Amino acid sequence: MAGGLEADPLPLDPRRQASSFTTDDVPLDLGVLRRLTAQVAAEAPAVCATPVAEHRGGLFTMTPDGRFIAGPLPNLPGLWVISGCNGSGFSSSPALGEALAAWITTGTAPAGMTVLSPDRFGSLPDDALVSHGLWRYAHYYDPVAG
Amino acid sequence: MDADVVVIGAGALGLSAALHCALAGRSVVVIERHTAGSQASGRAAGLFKCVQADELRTRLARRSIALAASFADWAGVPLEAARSGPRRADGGRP
Repeated sequence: MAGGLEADPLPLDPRRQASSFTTDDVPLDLGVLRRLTAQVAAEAPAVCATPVAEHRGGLFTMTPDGRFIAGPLPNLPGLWVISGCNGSGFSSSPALGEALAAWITTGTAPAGMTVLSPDRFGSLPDDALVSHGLWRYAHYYDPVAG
Repeated sequence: MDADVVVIGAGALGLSAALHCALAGRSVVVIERHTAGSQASGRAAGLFKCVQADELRTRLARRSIALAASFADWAGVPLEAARSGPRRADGGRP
């Protein structure tokens, strides 16, 4: 399996897509993977020489600070959010779901979880959210403080 | 339809939260536009890492590995998972 994050990702706003939109409608560019695998051709030549059995891509949900979003919405009692995967939502979903469920059912935030509160960004305009998200995606493997 | 918890979206995060709410004794309804895991979750690489960019995410990642590895024990449903031991191309530890 080979994958990676391109420097010029395509932002997609579901609100501006047709109601029939699904992840299948996201355009895929095999050239992105060709360029990325070429960078490791010396270390892993098989990655470049092996035929493609499956080419797939999903939709990342990026946040301005690269962290998950999980917790209650302050102005809408009873509504909770769990999102902002930033590319590691699936692999963290067992523990994130467990933590949010504990928060919902006990009313007490599990240790450390309040930093993921959905209201931490204030009122960022949409274009700032998009530009921050694109930057996070393109700098995915940069170290994050804290 | 009445339920203690209504989850919108049957991806990995929604289903995980729904499962744990149900295990805590709550009645749960999950609403999904398409089919479970059919969108971003179904396209994930499926790789679990032991170390993430900060302490909280590393703790969540390791807890997730433990939950996935013991899924059949606490959820009662078999889950295929392999510890395949990847190597980073730059020689660092995975």
